[in-house]
This record gives sequence, structure tokens and C-alpha cells, in this order.
Amino acid sequence: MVARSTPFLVWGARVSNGWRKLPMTDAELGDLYARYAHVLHHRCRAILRNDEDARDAVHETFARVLRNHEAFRAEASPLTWMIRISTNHCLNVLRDRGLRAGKLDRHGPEILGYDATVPQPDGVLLDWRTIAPLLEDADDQTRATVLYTFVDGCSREQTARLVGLSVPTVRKRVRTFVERARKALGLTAPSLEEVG
Amino acid sequence: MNDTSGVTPTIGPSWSRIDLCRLATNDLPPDDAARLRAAIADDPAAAAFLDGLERARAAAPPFDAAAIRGRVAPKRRSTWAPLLMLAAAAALTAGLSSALVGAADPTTDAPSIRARGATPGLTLSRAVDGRLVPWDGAPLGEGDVLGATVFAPEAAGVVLMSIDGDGAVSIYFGASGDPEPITAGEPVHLPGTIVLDGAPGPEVFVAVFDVPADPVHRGIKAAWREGGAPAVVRWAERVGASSVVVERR
Repeated sequence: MVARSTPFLVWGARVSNGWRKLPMTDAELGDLYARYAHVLHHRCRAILRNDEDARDAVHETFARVLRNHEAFRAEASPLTWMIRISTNHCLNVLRDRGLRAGKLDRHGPEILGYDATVPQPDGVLLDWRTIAPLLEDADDQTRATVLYTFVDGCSREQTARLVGLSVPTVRKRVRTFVERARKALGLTAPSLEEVG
Repeated sequence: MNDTSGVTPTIGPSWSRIDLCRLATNDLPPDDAARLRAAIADDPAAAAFLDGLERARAAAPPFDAAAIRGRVAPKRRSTWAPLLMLAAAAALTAGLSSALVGAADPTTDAPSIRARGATPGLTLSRAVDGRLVPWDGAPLGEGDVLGATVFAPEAAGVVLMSIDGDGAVSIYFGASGDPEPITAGEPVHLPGTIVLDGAPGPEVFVAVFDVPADPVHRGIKAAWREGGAPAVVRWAERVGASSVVVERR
């Protein structure tokens, strides 16, 4: 029997004694939560601009950890795995909002209801606020590509790994998006050197 | 740019925020973490971002193992499909249709569905001075802002729609087809707000639990065609859904 003192000892380990098949305990889940939840919440809130949605995204991400605990325990970078999951969730939420007949307003922090107050997240929002409306009709991979590239500041290589595309495809999608965004914002077209 | 082999260099700011997140959570291999720390030593933007992450601890939702595990529980299968078959079989064999729970409505072509969960509920709140307060039932007009809270003892997901006086359906939750996951047994404040447009009333809001959006949409439309808002309310009662009628000013 392998001790389960901490879940972090086996990240990436190739154990064959069945350890990874054990379900995740509340203690393990709690350790993971203490370590990662605030980072995920911070990022989801920046993307979604809504505290309740961000909380929901965090819980949903940890639920996915439970559902996929074997694969998760084998991850070399648990946080990257969870960021990928939470990003997909957030993009789905944004897409879902866009389908609500234009009635669901994006009030953001001022109307969350029931005495909720949310401090303005730093920095990230301004960029995303501008970018997000330009992505409403984009496909999921393009939305994720743009998010990782311009909001998280990821390199093309890092973005490619996160989205599951080739680097040339990421470059092409970023270029296409930038051209489109500049046009939409009334800016001059960028050079290839600018876009990368 | 500094050499940060092992740590992904990025465009724009020197390192990606994901790298910084991994640093903050001790998720980077020690060598990479050391290189990144050295590289951002004089980078105020990186320091500010890391400070922000640390402050974010206070804003993170508290750990709730039950709530998380509740999302993992096997998703309850919607009961509308088998009940529809049951209804058809019952109608064929016994000539009964209306007595069976979830049976087809003889007065409309509304799909026969039966939502799960005893005494589910939908309540609306209204934004007043930037805060949502319980709606008192007074008529509302264009520009009024509503919030919605649902409660279902057993259900795992909700579809929320409304149909206005023109018969136009708006889908707020479940637009992707599947019910929006909710936590059973406690009031769930649905995120976001709904801004009423200038459509004529009354507008009927309907919350249906554990049923895909498509049959709900068809059911509401069919009921409305048959008898307007009152028929939608009756349809909701019949399928075990919750409805709230908003009169318009």
C-alpha cells in the first residue's frame, strides 16, 4: 500500500501499483484547492468579469480534476492542466452569454446581487474587454489562441501547446485576428513583423 | 530578453502570466523557477502581477468539497424521453393520455416532458440602485434589470427561458442545449442579469430542471400558440417546471 501523505509527490510519476486509480480524497482535493484555487479564480474573474461566474468556473475545474484524477495526477504541470480546463469553461460561458438574445447584460461587478462586491482585477481586464467582443463569432480554438496570446502573454509555442495546434497554425490565427481587430478598431494593418 | 530556457519566453511582457502563476504555486521545476525569479527581479510588472495573485487568496471562493463533488455525481438522465415513450404506450394501450404524469397535452402539440425534482422554484429579483432585491411583482418596463434564483432539491441542471407577449423566446441558461449545471438543494443565484426590452407583455419566465433546452423551447412555443401566457404557465405546472409571469408597464 502506498501512503497518500501528499498528492504532490506523484505528479508525473509513472507508478504501476495502482496508486493513481485510488479516488481523490477530500484531503487531497483540499490541498490542491489551497494551492491553486486563488490563481484560477483570479484568472477566471479577469476573463469573465463576473465573480459568480468565476467561482463557478473554479468549482467546475476542480470537479474536472475529480473526474479525471488519474490523468490529472500524471500531469507534469497540474496548474497548466487546470488553466486549460478553466479557459475552455470560461470561453464556453462567454459564448453562452452571447446567445442569450442580447438581453443578458454584461454589467460586471456593479450588479452581482446580494451585496456582492468585487475589487477591479488588475491590468488584464482592459485588454480582454477590448478583445472579447471581437471574438464573438470566432471558433473555440481561435478564441483560446487569442486569449493565451494577448491576455496571458504566452509565446506562440506556449500557446500552441495549450491549444493543441501547431505553431504555424497559431501564428496564422493570430495574424488573422490582429488584421481583423485592427480593421474593426479602425487602425492600420500591422506588418508581419509586428504580429510575429 | 534574458535566457530563460525551460521557462517559456513570451512576446510583449517578458514572461507569460501563466509562467508567473506556475511560479507562484510552486508548479515550476526548481531550476526553471530559479531562472524565472532571477529574470523578473527587476520587472515591476511581474512583481505587481505576483502581488495581485497573493492578494487574490482573500477573494477566492472557500473550499467546499461537497459542492465540488456534487458536480461529479453521475448526471441524472433526463426523464422526458422515456416518459414520452411511456405516454405514447399508455395512450395506445389504454386510450389514456392526460392522466399519466408527463403525458402529451391533448390541447397543444407541446412535447411531453416531466422535469425532475420535487417542488423546484424560480424567483426573480430586480436591480434597484445597483443591487438585486426581491421583485415585488409590480409591472416592469423596458430597461428594468432582473436577476434569477432557482432552487431544486434534486436536479443537476436548469434551463431558463422566457417568452414575451409577441411569442419571442429568449434562452438565458441552457442555450448550448444542455441544462446549466446547478447545485441541488440550495438556492442558486444564476450569474448575470437580464435587461427587459420593449417587447409587449406579459413575459413568462420558465425554469425547467434536468431537461434539454430543445424540448423546453418547443413546449413553451407550442403552449403559447395555444393560449398565450396562461397556457405557458399551465404547461410549466404540468411538466413540473417553475414559471413567473412579469406584467409589463
